[in-house]
Amino acid sequence: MLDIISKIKQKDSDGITLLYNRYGKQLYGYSVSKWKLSEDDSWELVYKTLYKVISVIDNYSFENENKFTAFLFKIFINYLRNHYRDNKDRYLETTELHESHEKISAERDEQSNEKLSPLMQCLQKALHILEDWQRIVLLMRAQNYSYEDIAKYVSKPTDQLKVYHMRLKKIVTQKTNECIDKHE
Amino acid sequence: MDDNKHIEEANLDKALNNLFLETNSIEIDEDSVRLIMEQEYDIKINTTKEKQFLKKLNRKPNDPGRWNYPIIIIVIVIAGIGFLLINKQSYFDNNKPTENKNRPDQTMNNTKYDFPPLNEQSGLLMEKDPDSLISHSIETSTSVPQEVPIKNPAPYFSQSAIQKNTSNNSLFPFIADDLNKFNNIKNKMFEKLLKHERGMYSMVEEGVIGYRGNEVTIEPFILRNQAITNLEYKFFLADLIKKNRMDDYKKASVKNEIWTNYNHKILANTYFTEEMYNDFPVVNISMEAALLFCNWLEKEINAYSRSVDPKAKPLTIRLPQSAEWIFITRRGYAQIPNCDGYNTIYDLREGIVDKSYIKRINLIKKRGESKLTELDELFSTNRYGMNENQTLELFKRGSNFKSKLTPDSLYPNKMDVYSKAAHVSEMIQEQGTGKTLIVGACWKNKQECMKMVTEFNSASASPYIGFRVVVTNDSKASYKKPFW
Repeated sequence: MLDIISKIKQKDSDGITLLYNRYGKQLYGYSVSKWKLSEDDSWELVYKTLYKVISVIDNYSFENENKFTAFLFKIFINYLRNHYRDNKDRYLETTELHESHEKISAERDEQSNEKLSPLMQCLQKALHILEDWQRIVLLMRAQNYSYEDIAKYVSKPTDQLKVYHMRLKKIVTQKTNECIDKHE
Repeated sequence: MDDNKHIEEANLDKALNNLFLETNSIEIDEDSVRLIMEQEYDIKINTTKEKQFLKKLNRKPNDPGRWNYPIIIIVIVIAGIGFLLINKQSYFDNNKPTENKNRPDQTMNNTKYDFPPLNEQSGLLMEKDPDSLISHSIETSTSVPQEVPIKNPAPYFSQSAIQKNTSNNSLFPFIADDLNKFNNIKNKMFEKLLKHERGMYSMVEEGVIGYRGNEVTIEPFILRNQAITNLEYKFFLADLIKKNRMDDYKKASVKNEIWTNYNHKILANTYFTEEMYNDFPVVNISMEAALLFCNWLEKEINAYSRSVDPKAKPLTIRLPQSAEWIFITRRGYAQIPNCDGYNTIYDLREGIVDKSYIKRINLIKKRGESKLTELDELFSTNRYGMNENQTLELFKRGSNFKSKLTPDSLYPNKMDVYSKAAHVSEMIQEQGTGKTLIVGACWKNKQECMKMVTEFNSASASPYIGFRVVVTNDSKASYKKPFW
């Protein structure tokens, strides 16, 4: 990983190819298969992400690979989020990227919660009631992961996951709506 | 529909995805990212578009590129017309192409990197501070660790200093000079450990894995990259003698005679004693001996670190545990041989590593690393039936493999560092029970592996089994700085 970073910093074109092979392909696959974006949109998002990484990498050093991957992924998520914002989907309607998001702040979680819509806040509360594995099931399934894939991460039998998922959706929907009622 | 109205179950997935984007655009969960980046996406990539993509990404700033030509033409035309309208006469008088000052700025103010702006949309990026989108989630360090070649753990010491007529049952005959030399080298070894010198040690961050139906939290630890060597084990034995711990010395002594069970009579007399094998993994030692070594190293390193820094926090040295072993193999901290035989690193039936590990291996193979490497051949070797030279060659190739390693496409850096690992199987302890498990390396088949394990159980040692250590800092102040 550090090889890639140093190559990019040294303006070595091999570094760009490595960056693409290692991360770009994964992000492309993730966009197409999990977010059902068109090929062109996916290429564009990956391009923006890698370009951004390349252009700002001189300003950073990374403790380890996880930090770098998180850095890259966050850029990607921001572009993905903006993509949905531009394409106006009611449930994917997002807030603008405010200055407050960009500041290093110990209170960023609180700030970010304030930015969420009431629906999102209620949904987040409903998810917090669940156990970790239950949240993973819901979030992964929403992103079109197969039950087989999900089973590996939650250590639950694949054949029972579908039932769990259905129950969890009911619970979360109900809890979210109860919260919205209170909110009103 | 207003956001305050009820949500329907059919729309829950979209709302969950929205929440995912919202929350992850602010604070990234590294485990989620890892999960996503390690997935295998069954997507066919259009090679033509891929080439165009890479070409675009590699484009130099002065190369206008396909998309910029129309913009340049339009700009020139507009500039020309504008110029014509403003000063028609001078236009005719100075009928030369105007310099294209409206062309999108192709230099990056905030970066030294020579890349073009994205396209029209990229203006958004250029206007923002380059750090703005992501800076708050990144913990930067002032220095990126530089990769350094793996060095010999310590210099050899004089062959003449060691008596050659080592009897299998006698105490190892160190002489006073040796003990002094050991002391100097030992301190160097401790320094490397305290600095967790890259190449010899690696920092494994905390994480959670599923282990035999339970979720196990892995605390951060320092992993020794390769098995403990003969030389290091000599320090240990010498120290036991020096401190007159003769009972422990007997327990820890190397059972060189076991080599003869494998028709390796020369190695029985030379493998542990000759300096040429100093960097080879120590073998033919019992689990008890390995634990004694850990105990000794822990006391020694803590005494040494306190002598350097009286405020130094105590470290714990122990054998790896089974859940940690799975964790490091899954996260790419251990070498994965392309094994056609019986691979004790990831036998599903033995519950060593779960299916996602297999998936990772398949992903690596699929990514063009499928051809067998020299290391793969090394691991696939049938140890039984080897003559002594072949056995030595196996160990030697294992020790010197680094420069020949084909990088792992997922974790090239980690693979590079850990390539020395596992040219012998290793003793680890089962999570929770402390039971001895033998893991690592590839065997011709399961029967041979079981034979080796049976022989190990019978003789309490094997010429094919060594060990490595992990180091933890139990009094760590916080997870932000779990190491020292």
